[in-house]
Amino acid sequence: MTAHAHAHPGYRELHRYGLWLFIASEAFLFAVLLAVRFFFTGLEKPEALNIPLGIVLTVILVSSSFTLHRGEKAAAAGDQAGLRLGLLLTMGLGVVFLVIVGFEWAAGFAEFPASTPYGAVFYLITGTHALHLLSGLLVLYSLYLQDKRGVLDEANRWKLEAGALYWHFIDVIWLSVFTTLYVL
Amino acid sequence: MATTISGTGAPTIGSRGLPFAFRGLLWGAVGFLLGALLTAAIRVLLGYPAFALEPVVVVGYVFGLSGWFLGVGVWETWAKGWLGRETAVYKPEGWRRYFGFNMDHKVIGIQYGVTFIALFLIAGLLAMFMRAELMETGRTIFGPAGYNRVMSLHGLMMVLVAVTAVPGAFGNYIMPLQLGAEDMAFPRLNALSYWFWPPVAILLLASQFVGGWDTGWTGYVPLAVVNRPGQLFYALAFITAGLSSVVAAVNFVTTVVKMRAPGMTWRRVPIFTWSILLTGILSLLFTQAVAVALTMTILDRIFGGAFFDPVMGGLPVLYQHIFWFYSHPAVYVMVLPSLGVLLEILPPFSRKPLFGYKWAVGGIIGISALSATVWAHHMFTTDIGLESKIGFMLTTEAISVPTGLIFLSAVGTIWRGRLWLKTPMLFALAIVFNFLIGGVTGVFLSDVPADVTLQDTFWVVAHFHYTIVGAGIFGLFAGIYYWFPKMTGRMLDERLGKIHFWMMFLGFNLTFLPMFWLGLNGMNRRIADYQPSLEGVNTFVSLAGFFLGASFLFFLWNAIVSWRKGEPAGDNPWGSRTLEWQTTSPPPELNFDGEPEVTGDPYGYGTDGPAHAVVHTETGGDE
Amino acid sequence: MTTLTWGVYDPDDKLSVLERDMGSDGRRDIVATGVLWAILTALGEWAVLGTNMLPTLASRQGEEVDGAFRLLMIYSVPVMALVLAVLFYSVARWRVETPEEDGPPIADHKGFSRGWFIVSSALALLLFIHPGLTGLLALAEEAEAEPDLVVELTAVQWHWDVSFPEHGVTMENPPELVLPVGATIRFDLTSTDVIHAFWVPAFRLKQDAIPGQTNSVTITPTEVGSYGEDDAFRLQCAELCGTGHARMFLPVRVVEQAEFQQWLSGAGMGPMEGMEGMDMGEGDDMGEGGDGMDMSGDGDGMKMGDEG
Ligand code: HEA
Ligand code: HEA
Ligand code: CUA
Ligand SMILES: [Cu+2]
Repeated sequence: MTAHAHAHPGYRELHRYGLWLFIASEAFLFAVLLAVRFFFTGLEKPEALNIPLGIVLTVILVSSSFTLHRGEKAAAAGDQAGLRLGLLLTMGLGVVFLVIVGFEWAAGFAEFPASTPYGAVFYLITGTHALHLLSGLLVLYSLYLQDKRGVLDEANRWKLEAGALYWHFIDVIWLSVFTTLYVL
Repeated sequence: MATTISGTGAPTIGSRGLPFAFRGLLWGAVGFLLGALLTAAIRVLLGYPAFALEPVVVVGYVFGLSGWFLGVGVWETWAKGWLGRETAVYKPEGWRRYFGFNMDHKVIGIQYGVTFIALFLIAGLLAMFMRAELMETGRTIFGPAGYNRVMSLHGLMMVLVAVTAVPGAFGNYIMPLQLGAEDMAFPRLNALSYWFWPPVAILLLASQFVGGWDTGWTGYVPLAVVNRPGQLFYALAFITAGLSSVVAAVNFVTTVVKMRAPGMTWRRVPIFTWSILLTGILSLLFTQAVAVALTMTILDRIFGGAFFDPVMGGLPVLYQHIFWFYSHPAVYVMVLPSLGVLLEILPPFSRKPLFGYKWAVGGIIGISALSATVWAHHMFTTDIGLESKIGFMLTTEAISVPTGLIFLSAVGTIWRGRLWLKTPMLFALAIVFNFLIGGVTGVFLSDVPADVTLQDTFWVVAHFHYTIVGAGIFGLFAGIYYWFPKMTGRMLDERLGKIHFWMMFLGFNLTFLPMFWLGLNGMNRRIADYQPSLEGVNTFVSLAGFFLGASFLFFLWNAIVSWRKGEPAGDNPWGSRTLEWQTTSPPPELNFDGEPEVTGDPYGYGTDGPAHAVVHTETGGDE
Repeated sequence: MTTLTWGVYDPDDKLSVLERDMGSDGRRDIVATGVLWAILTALGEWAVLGTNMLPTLASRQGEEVDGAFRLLMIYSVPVMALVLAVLFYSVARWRVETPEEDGPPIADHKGFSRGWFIVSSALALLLFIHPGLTGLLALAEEAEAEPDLVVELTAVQWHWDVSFPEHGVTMENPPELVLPVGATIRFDLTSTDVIHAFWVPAFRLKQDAIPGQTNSVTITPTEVGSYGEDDAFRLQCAELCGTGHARMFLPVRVVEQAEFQQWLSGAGMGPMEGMEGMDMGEGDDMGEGGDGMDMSGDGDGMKMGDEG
């Protein structure tokens, strides 16, 4: 049978739509989680919360979005090496972020353990975010591999767009997590 | 990589040897072991004893699930691409194609259909045991602990059946056809959503080996935190099912929005497809809430309880808020697709246009919008305060209005029609009858003064069986009798179908109608034993329940025999106008032998206006 | 499969037998359905008003509940009768063996659809206001009433502990709960483990007993009675709380004031003995923990059964 050209939108448009739906769903997940925080402790937060560290984390993630954006631009200009550099830098920042979160957890366990309401909420939310970030890292790594193998060509450029969009989304989520857990 | 499977020139796999499902089991087991060992290693490093059941199960399960997916075919068809390598297509012939990562929406529809009928029968069989226990007072077969386990398993399995069977089977098989699309928007995600289900089934089975769980399907805390380990399996199974829903929902919504054939304006979208669209939106958003609630339960079980144990500052009632924030919208996920089936069937079998199409669509949208605002009507007896009670009573009663619009459309359609009482039509008419009772008794529950006595009694049990079974499951069967010819190319036997219908309809009403009385007269829910004064009615209910159960034997017989040697159906046995009937039964690989173009109303019965759609064949010289 | 010709509806077709019967505007059908609706409504209301489906009522607050329930029954009869009248009439009148032609292409009827929408909205609003809001406010007001007696109920897997703090009486897992008729009683509910719920069918009201907090429910018993005569007099746990949930109930006996005082002075001694009226078949079932499975925690079943 011949593959006749059904009149449906192009690959990219379709996938972009689907990804936005997925992001909407994920946004709901975090909305519920953040609501839980207010349910539990209202606006109270522990003294021991390391707010400067939170700011450092925020800066790291925001810069990772920036490096990724640079990578994307490089790719659009046909500069594969620039793309790979962008991906590597972004992944590096992501790993640093996770390591710092690890240290923060280790310190936090002593001050506001998981057996206190704020602690439980804090680890639940930052943990969920960290898992998302980890999956974002895997996506970036996959993009890196594909680029190295030379299959991330123009036809597959959507994958890069998707990976980047997801990463930026995780970044935006962090901003709301930061605001909820550290600022308010 | 294109959206279509064909024409990519990718190698095909899986046509020989054991189907991939078996390899999935093996890789899943390996993954589980790896995860378990990893957990043990980490525990030892942190200075805990190596083995603890629940952490090991959680981590092992996550790894096992990944192994399962890779083994079942994701590895060759998808994951290799993530590593920049060449992927393949799973495309065996015959029975094998149902046992691996197949991306054809028609295969997936049948996979869903068969799987969920099987789950339904098993969970129904559990109900038969429950009714045997409730036949008399005192211990009959399992006593209280066993009863609660069986009841909980029945409840959760049936809820999963109710939220998944109709969208899974017909949303996948029929909806793309109704749109004139050649497949779903994301065939791989579609296959993914199906293959979540075997792990769910395995978890539910495995839970029974560690004592099961006895909180019912709702898993209220603190009970769920202090319970046996089976509760953990309950939570994991429910979360996995939820993941499947989210994945499927992304696909459904994108397909309806983006894959409509030329000319398929929103006003020409068939009503069943509308119901699937809104169902998709509900699952997409709200399923996340139940995942949160259950994750909190799991964390409390493993880390000791700050979320829900009041001694540690936890809030038990918060669980209920999050749980119902999902699970109320979920009850509309259970019923909307079936109401879509109902309104899809009435026009061809009344030979009239769908009455008030606009109102019906408005009703579906209105129900979906309001469903997000009513969750605490399950919590009128907790501590939610007067203002909340007033608010939730108002929103809940308001939801009767859009639901009533479905009834408006139904009664308007049959009025002055040519009622052709074939089996699908009988099931459809029965939905109107049953759901009327189910809906109106729900209004009693939404009224706080009445709910304070009815809550947690068999009135509620009767209410939700009248809605979930009376509309949801009747809708499943209406859909089967209507679309079986399309899906298999053969007719179901009409005589056996009618026997099934009448036994099921009578059996259903005789079983569940007396339960309203039981609830009013002091029979609370989830009990293995009750007051002696209720024995007579309970015995009657049990006998009627067995009669109801027996009706499915006729269905099973009918389905198995007809699938193999039923009368050939032809393309359009019911003279329907929607697009799925404008192709062969079953449809060819890309659904239509040409280009469908939508030119008119899907329900233009009785008019000689333009046909709903024409299929331009390549040889036809169109365009 | 017989081949069908799907004829298009033709209002002028003289051979259209059904149409000719029907009259051109179907007015006769509307009248007939209206009559059927009236009959169904009358029968339904007669049944609803003529039968009492509710168990014994023995509290003042319960009158609100029963009133709401009865009113909802009265409201729902015509709503259901309307849908059923159309359903039954249509099936009886317009069923065909094999449709040879299509029906009239009625796609909508502005007046009817709008009317339906408006009437059902009005009805929903009416239901919300009365009995909903009125009943809810009345119950809320009752709950505010100054109690004559406070009873503290503590739910424990799987029994009730009762205390009368004003009288310094505390009973662990008593065999029955005795209450004075006519007194306004506030029950303060809490739980030591999981969520349970307070429900005496004869009193109607239900309230959850949640660990970590105290919920109250106010009840004024209006009738004397006891579990031995009528099982609506029992304090039934109404929230699933584990294995013993089904049998987590405490017989209730409502007595005259004087008798209550007498009982109370006798009860101050401590846990009571005797379990009359508790025989529900094999009472020791609960202790077995089902079919030999491993139950977490103190899976030794219900304590109530131990004394039976
Ligand atoms: C498919 C599933 C389904 C559906 C569709 C519904 C529909 C409704 N349900 Fe139901 N419900 C459940 C499944 C469902 N329910 C389940 C599973 C539970 C128990 C969960 C558990 O605890 O395990 C439950 C429990 C439940 C409760 C909590 C009971 C308790 O535990 O105390 C309440 C309370 O408000 C309620 C109300 C309603 C209402 C008002 C509707 C409305 O949507 C009904 C609307 C329909 C009509 C009213 C009929 C048609 C309308 C007309 C003809 C128009 C005119 C009518 C009027 C204006 C009144 N339901
Ligand atoms: C789709 C949803 C669905 C369906 C279809 C059913 C179907 C049935 N249910 Fe269920 N039920 C629920 C959803 C459903 N239920 C839920 C959500 C609960 C709440 C649980 C909780 O409280 O948490 C519940 C609870 C529940 C209770 C209350 C328990 C309690 O509170 O103590 C009862 C009691 O009678 C009951 C009975 C029945 C019966 C008799 C059927 C019958 O319709 C079943 C018909 C019989 C069959 C379908 C079996 C046919 C079998 C064969 C033909 C043999 C062949 C079999 C094989 C080859 C395997 N159900
Ligand atoms: Cu205590 Cu149920
Ligand atoms: Cu609800």
